[in-house]
Amino acid sequence: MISSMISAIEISSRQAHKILLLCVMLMAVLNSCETHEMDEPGLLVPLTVDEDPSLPSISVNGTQLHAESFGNPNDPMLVALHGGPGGDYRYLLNCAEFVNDGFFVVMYDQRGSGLSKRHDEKIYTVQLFIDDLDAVIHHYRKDSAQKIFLLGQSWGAMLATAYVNQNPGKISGLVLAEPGGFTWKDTKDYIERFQTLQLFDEASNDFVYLDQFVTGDDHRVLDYKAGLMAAADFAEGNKTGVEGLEPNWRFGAICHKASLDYAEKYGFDFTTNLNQFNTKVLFVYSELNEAYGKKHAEKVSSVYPNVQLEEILGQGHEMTYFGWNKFYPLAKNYLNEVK
Amino acid sequence: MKKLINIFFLTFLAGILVSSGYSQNLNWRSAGKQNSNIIYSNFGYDFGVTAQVGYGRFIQTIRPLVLTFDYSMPMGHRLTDDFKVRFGTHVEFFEKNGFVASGKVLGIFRNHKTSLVRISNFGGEFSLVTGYFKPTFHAALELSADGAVVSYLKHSKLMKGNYPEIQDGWYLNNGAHYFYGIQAGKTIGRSYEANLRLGKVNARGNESDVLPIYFQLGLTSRF
Repeated sequence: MISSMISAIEISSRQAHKILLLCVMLMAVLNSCETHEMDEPGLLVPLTVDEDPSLPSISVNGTQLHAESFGNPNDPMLVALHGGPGGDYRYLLNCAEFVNDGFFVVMYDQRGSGLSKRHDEKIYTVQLFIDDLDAVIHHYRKDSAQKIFLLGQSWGAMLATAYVNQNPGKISGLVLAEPGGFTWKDTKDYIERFQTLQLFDEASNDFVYLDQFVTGDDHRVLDYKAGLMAAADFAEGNKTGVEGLEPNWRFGAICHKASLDYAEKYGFDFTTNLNQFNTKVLFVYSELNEAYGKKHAEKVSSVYPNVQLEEILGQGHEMTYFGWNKFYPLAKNYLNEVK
Repeated sequence: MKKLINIFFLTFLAGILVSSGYSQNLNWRSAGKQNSNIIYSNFGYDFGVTAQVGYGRFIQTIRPLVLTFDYSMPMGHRLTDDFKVRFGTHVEFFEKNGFVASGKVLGIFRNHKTSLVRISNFGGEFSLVTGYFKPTFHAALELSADGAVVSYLKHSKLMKGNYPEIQDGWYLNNGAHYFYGIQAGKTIGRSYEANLRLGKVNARGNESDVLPIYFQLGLTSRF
């Protein structure tokens, strides 16, 4: 027994020396390399407007938003609202084409998203997003006669509806692309249909496997991590029919989480005054989004008295980018009709 | 920063020199008497639905210890893009009337690849396991800490197309998790043991994981 113990220890000792050599080599390699911290500004996610003064921005409602406008400021205003909460307007830049149809186009990254300034998670409420939109409209609006149109995708379409519900007389037309829902229940049902984890699926396991590599409190780190998790959104077999990574600057992880937490805790109902909005609304949904479909589109859109419901064939949830050639003619015809 | 790397590797090295080890549910009372080798396989949830295989070797020194090596990977159709390799030691440092306290020190190398990034990480795991161990069964509490100490990030063309200024390279102090759970095992025949681990996972900071639990069912064979 003693001899076997000695033998085992000798084997272990030989192995240990090899591993020691390997470790020393690794230490030497790492010590010779430049190392970074994940929260260093600009390394893993772009600088925001408060960090880079060269970015176009506006200061409204107590925050600094990354924002741009296109076209003649005296034309009817079309405000493009991105998804999320937490996304940004980079994938909506095609909407600048509406300038050619006689619109003054305004885009901004919502509070805490994209290249807009970050905020603490405690400030986020639905009303804050509505107030920010109102402040953006007032910032760019020339006079009270200038017509305002809203175009929103996903959460952006929900925000547009929330704004109309509070201000039914202010908006002259509305283009909505697959809003999750106008009540928290409808939205939650939709989210659960496309976010269910599949135990043996590559994309689902990729989504959760990342957790062991990156954790922390720092907003930049969490934004970077959320950006990586977006790989699941367009992974093979995704339920929303998204075919690839759409252009984006930064996903606002805190904004997204805080907004969902707020909705989970307090709920919302954006439908209480929509019966007063008699203007026709263009409501589009995509053929390839399995979690959405005609049934959900009809249910969600039914709260508007006057709806033009359209399906965009061969596209998924991000139809406003990947399906621009199909989305644009529909939106253009509608906007010219209600302008 | 470099000091942190050195501390990690020296700690890691100390673990290897002190012993080398197993990882999961080890029954100190039924193992190591006649059989000095173990192989084990586990299936469960550990940051994804994962399968794990491993090898361990008992060494009788002043205190019993086991050197282990294991490999695990999550489910999915790509078999080699995500995996975790752990190696280190599990040492029993207290025993009285079946009550045992033991500690684990493991070095970790793990890899994660998606269409946006490849992350290669060096980390470590430290655990304390204490409970009641009889030759035919055991039940114990476990506390663990897992640190993702240093990672190499290599971003894809797709990611760089979106943000051309993104920096590949070595990044420090990437993350940490704390595990609180139970483990239990039942000996089957002379050479096998079925075992179970489950518990809660807390991420460092205020962030919570997508699914903050771990769960593992396994079979250990001694020979």
